[in-house]
Amino acid sequence: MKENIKNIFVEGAISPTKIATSIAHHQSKTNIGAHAIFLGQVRADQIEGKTVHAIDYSAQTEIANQVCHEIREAAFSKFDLSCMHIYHSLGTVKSGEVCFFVFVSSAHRKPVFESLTAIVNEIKAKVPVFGKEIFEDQSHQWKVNQ
Amino acid sequence: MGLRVRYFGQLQEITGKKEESLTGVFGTIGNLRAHLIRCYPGLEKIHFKIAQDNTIDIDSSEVNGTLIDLLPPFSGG
Repeated sequence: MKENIKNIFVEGAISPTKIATSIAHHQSKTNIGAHAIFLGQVRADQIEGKTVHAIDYSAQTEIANQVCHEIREAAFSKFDLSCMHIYHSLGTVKSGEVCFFVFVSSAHRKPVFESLTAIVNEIKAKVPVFGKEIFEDQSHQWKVNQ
Repeated sequence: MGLRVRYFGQLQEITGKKEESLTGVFGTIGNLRAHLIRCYPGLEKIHFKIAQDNTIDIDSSEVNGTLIDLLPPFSGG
């Protein structure tokens, strides 16, 4: 079944153009009546007087893609979804840029609202991605998810 | 049989390595974990998962793969 596993990773920030293009691709799917989108954006956190300038993401990509595949399959069986797209950045993403994009679509709003929260939470908890927060002076610390 | 051990995220800083080869008989994942903590005492401070052959495994499992990955806490999104 390995051939069904999609690669969620994109190098660098996820551009607003990519997000817009992804929305546009759904205009031909006229059974869809509702989309929900989650966008994760890099925050310029202030930590002990220093400001986060960027996050450098790395991952164990084989496990990450496999786990995302399982999360996707579970969501399709639990919720009445038409389609689902998941993208995460690798490498450097500056503060203010988008690093995480989850897009779910359905005939009606209830499945997209309910599934989106579940999928985002599962990905944050279970997918082996590691964020290194880079400060303006090039020092760093390892991001901890709340 | 040799093991290829890869370190991810902050574990690369603690070990000073991205990967290395290990030879020896470790038995279980838990024994391998203990061995690695003896080699790199800094690992004791970090909660890390161990995967073998691209699947996260539990400490009671036998080491029967060839690729071992040490994964620190996840912080995607």
